[in-house]
Amino acid sequence: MSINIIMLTGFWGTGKTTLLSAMLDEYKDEKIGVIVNDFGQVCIDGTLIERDGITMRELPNGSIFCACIKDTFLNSLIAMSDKDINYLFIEASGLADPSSMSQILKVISPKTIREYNYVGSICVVDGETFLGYYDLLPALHQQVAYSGVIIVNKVDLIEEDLITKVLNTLTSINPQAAIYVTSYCRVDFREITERLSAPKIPGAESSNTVESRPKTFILSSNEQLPYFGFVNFIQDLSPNAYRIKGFADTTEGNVYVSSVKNHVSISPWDRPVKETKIIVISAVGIRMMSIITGGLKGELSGKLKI
Amino acid sequence: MGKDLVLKALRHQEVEDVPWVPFAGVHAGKLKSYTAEEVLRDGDKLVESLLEVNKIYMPDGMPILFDLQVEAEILGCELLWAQENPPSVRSHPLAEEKSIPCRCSIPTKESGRIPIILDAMRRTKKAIGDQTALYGLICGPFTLASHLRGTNIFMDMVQDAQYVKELVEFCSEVCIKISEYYIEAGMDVIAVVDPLVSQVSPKHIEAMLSDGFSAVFDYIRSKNVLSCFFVCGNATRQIEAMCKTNPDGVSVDENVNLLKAKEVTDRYDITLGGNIPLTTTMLLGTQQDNMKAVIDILDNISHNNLIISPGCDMPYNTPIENTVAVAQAVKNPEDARKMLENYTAIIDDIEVDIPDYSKLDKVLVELFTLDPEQCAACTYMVNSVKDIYDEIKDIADYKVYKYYIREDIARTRKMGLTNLPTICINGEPKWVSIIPSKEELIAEIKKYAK
Repeated sequence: MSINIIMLTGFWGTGKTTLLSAMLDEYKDEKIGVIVNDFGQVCIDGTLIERDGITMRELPNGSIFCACIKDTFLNSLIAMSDKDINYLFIEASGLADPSSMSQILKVISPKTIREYNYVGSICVVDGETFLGYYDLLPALHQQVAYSGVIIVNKVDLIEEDLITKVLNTLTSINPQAAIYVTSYCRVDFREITERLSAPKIPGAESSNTVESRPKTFILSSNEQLPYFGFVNFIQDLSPNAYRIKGFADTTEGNVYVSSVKNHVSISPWDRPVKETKIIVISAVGIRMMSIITGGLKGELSGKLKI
Repeated sequence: MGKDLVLKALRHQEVEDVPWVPFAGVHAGKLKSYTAEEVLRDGDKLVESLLEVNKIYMPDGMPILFDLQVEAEILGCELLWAQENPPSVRSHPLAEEKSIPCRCSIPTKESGRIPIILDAMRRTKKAIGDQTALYGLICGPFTLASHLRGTNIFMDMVQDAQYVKELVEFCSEVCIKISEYYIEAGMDVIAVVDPLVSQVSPKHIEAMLSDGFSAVFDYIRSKNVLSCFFVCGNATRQIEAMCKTNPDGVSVDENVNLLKAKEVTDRYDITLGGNIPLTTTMLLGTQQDNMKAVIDILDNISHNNLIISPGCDMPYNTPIENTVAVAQAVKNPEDARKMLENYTAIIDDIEVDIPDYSKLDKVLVELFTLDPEQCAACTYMVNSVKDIYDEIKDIADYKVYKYYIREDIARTRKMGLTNLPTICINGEPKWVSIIPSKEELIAEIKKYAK
């Protein structure tokens, strides 16, 4: 029996990991494999979706469609084909351009133990930020163009006429895809899986090159961080970052940090945090280094390291 | 202790004496009769030479390795090795391909000569690190970018600023990584050496380079280590832009008027290092010339936020006695003053013929350089002419002069040139410390063709 591949794409912070977590709950009676692709040098999303009985591989350090780690992705797909699973979910990193997915499966097919069936790609779009980033980042066009289902998420944060503009843009890029409009990724997962289809347009070379990689910075600490100082620090960074995420050990307990542009969420995390690790994906290039070092003053001085 | 003098000076604290930091790069090898190539590739010979520098020159601080090609070599540039100079870059991997290298190519602790350098740093630290401040030198992001892209980078700065910005950002990431390794190996100061910064306008520095430099200096500071920004060439106009990138110190060569530069660095509370003339004084002068150079600095420049150093990497054949004279003058200025009382500098009086340019058959392009192999700005300036030579050879010839050859020094003086490198066309200075684009250069030469 073949293994069904469902891919999740979308820019950082659109809600891919939330969607994946919910889908894993929905499919808990199935045998599931997951490949999580993170942009930074460490994987944060893997920790968020970790659960018993799931075969998981984490691929950090860039897009799985970029030459830098494409071979690791291919090898992971080959290795996963030997596992006892029915579904393989692939969460691509925020700037992944999945247009070469069909070719990749063709290339590896002689080497896979069981055959893969590419069910299709679900693209999650942040209704609030999509139009702003769409002009800037060509990968977002490709994510939409090569998807079978598009979820327009976080619509509770935006006005009706902006939703209409987003929908018009999405339909002009991909008239075939089924579009769901929602918040918190609340959708009928079985239904969208049934409506999912592999891309109808011909595959292409992925636009992911090493050049299209924004700068990432990892902040780490073995010490407990003063909560309020830490929160202020993250809030100060957020306007200049595409995404900030990670786990921290603070004086108010362990927290999960998730920031998308100006929306900063710092919530309690009830599992252990061995070491504070925060990934910052810069929207201002290398200048983020100076913004970070400028913020690591006062009570955070010497506690959080780059 | 000497080390404290350097650390205090770079922390802008009051010092009892002005610190002395000789840049004995390849010259360190001369002290133990090793070639430049040997000290830059053999860790044992390097450490042995560095300990000799520490013994003979009584430095308060000193660099471990002065070679701006270490990072470029790892990133795919071919090097041409020399016996009395650091190697020079012979090929530019991005010359024909306008791309950004993969982050996966950023050097690791195992790349190229890094393991040898880290080992030499640790051993030197253990032997003399208590008494002497040790400098880890890294190639600055702009010079590294030009090593990768070649002279095309100057045209890119005009036509594709975004590409230059991205390439410099990548090179800044390399600088940050190398700094991390050198800091772990015990370096007290990280010097970001970027000779080419003097070749572009402050406007271009701020538009394309400053973010990268600031990131490197801010990173170094976050590790509680001190930083310096070294430049060569006439960086008078660029010093303010350099200060704004936030280093603890700036170091300049003899092309810069130290007194005027100090007015700028003092405004930013940044320490200024410099600028004993490398060739006219250290390489070719007498001991008295060298003492006088030091005393002139000490008598004319305020002593706070000041470090006395050669203008840049010392020439391999710098007479040991000249450097000793510098050290003596820094450490015992009163004695040096007495020795100089009846001394006047000897001025070379060599006969040189300046051609009658109007009677030449072809246009004459003359390149007046400090050293076309060792000074990166000079190399790029010479290459800018070599690169177009095929296109102009029917109408023009070119000549390269080197400021370490007595006749060439005399010629440079007779031409009235005060800053190097300079390109003259038929005797008229056309580009001083600025590298022209291919189009500009050809157009200017054609104007003079008969």
